[in-house]
Amino acid sequence: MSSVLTLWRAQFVSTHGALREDSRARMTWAIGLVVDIAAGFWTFNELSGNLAQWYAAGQLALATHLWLLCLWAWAGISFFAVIAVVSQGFGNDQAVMLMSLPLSPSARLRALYGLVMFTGVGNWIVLANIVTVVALGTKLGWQALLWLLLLDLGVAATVCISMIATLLVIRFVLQHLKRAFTGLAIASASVVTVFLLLHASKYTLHVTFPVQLMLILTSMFCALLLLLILGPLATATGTLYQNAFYTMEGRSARRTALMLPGMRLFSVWLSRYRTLTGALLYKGLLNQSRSVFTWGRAAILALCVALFPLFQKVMIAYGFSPLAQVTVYASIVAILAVVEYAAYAISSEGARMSYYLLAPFNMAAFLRARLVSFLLPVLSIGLAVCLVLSWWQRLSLYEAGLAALLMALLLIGYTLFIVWGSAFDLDINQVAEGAMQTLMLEELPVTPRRLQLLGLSILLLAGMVLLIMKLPVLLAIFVLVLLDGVVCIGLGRFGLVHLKKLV
Amino acid sequence: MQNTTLAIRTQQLTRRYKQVTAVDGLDLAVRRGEIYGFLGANGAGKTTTMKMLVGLLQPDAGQVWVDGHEMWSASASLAAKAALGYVADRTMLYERLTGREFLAFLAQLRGIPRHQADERIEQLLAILDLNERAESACGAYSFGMKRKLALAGALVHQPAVLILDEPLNGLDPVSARRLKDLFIELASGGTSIFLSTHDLATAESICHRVGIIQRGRLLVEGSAAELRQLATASNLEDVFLTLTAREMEATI
Repeated sequence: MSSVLTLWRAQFVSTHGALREDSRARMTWAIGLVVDIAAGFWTFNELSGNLAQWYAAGQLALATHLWLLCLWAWAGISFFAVIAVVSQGFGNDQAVMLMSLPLSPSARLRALYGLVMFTGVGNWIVLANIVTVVALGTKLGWQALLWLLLLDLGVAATVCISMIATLLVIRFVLQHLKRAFTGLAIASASVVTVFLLLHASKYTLHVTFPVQLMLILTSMFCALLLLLILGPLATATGTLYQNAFYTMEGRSARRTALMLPGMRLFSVWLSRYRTLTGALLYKGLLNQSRSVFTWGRAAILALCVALFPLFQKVMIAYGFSPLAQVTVYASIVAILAVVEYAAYAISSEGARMSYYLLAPFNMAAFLRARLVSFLLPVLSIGLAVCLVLSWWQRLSLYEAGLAALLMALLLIGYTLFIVWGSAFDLDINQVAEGAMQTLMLEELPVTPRRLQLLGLSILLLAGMVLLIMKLPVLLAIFVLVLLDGVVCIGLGRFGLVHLKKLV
Repeated sequence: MQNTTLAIRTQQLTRRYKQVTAVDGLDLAVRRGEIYGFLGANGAGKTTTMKMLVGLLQPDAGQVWVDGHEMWSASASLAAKAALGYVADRTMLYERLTGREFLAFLAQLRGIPRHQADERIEQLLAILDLNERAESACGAYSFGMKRKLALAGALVHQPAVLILDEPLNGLDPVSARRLKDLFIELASGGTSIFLSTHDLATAESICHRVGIIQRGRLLVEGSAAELRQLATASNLEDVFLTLTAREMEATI
């Protein structure tokens, strides 16, 4: 156990040192705090408002909603835990160094669990606790403690289960992606079929169980699960981690570069433009067309368009006009197409940034070109979706034009913010070696700064959606133009300052 | 005034990191067509100096001229950058691009006309023995191949000045020999090469002049023969060990 404590302590000292020495780390911490406080405040307001209604509706309604609340919290924690497992367990030099140390498999597993809890989900656990204690405590009294116990033990168990699930996927699924996709498709189809059958038969399950007993039993189950995994099963699970690590290290890189039909022609056409923007588009096209994530994004886009009627009902319930529905939905679909890599538009370059810093153009030109290389695909996708949805909603030509204009203004503001803001996380000394490290650098929100940027960009998006929803169209256009101007000037300067700081 | 016969010149170049002065009033001069070997122990200030030469690290004091253009002046830095090629000690490529596409991207980035770029890329792939793997993704390259591709990237725009941080590190003997021949050939064509290395035999065999840096200061400079004479040593390795030890003793 002492080696595990030593590793946890080293991580704590390293974080503490970074906060003391590195102004960027302090800034990240401050932004994270702002995002956490904003999220906490919003959750507290929502929870307090709803809690009174649930309380009034009776014990069963209250318990059902609080269970759902816990499930949502665990799902969110699980998402961050998976990211933390990949980044802490595989994607950095520290993981490689730890794997070379003479540690037992059980010690490795416990060390990884601690790192995930501390660096991956720690702030969310603190946030969830504060909100739950304050919101539930005032209404439920001592009963709130039982719910808090359930929430915390559930979080601890969820992190453990997410960790094992991630290790299993890396160990057994990544090597057989085609078969895994087929299996996943069959499993999804089966679940949907069962759900539809149950829905058609109007089957409902009624379970009556004392709420307190249920809470205690579930909490005990979570605690037992945790003790089992980190105790007697730690050696087996630690061995799984080791094997998953060896699987990742042993993956041979693809020797041939995939060239999809039409891409060669398109890339040749782009290579005619001997400019910085042309070069970025050329590189971006080839790079993205060979990423498995791109095809996932394409599938999500198609799914999103198909699911419009479902989300339309929600938007109508919130008072969105048909024009606002088209604008907001098309914008969100376009943002979904780029959101998970736009947040690292600049920072994903790492040490490759020196290619741009050494080339004979200034950094303002680089920022502009980078923005254009993201805006073009975002606006193209947004416009295409906007046209489809305008036709679907039977908007007039004038209304469709207004929707397209509003959407363009929203997308410009958002893209400006997230692309130029990503300069904040750039480190020109960062070198990625191997597929996993490259994936972490280019495609995943694995650093606190990236997560903060994503969080802030979502706040900006929510603000812009509110403007479109609440203001008359022409006034909304005017305000969005102003907002885009402010973001352009502010983030442009911010990006330039950060790029100049690099040298 | 900048001497136009010099490819690189620094004047009182200084860089501090909090309490540590990594480079301390460094004066350097590299002539056109010269191969200059930059030697020093770990942490002596080699990489810091090189980063200041190429425009990746701003000096706290002093000036740098590359090909007659002042690197850190707002009006001349772009011209200085256009004249130089740089290979860092650790290279990072675009893993999903092929070797040829990577070079094409760099050529496009620098605005080289396409037909000219294609010809140049073909030449470089042949010289660096990368032809067979030119259509493979960079992610599948070995460490040595990545180093060679990075060097090709630095040469694609035919720079007048080449700055290389440990260029032979990680290369097999055949590739290392090929690169050394290439450096000599480039220098005879007028390209100035400023390279850092820990391989003293290489420095002795290909460099016209060698400079040894210690604690951010230029300890000694001259041809290998001059330095051997100065330290009454038989080879550059003994020169390096003798001179750096003397300086350490003097400091203590």
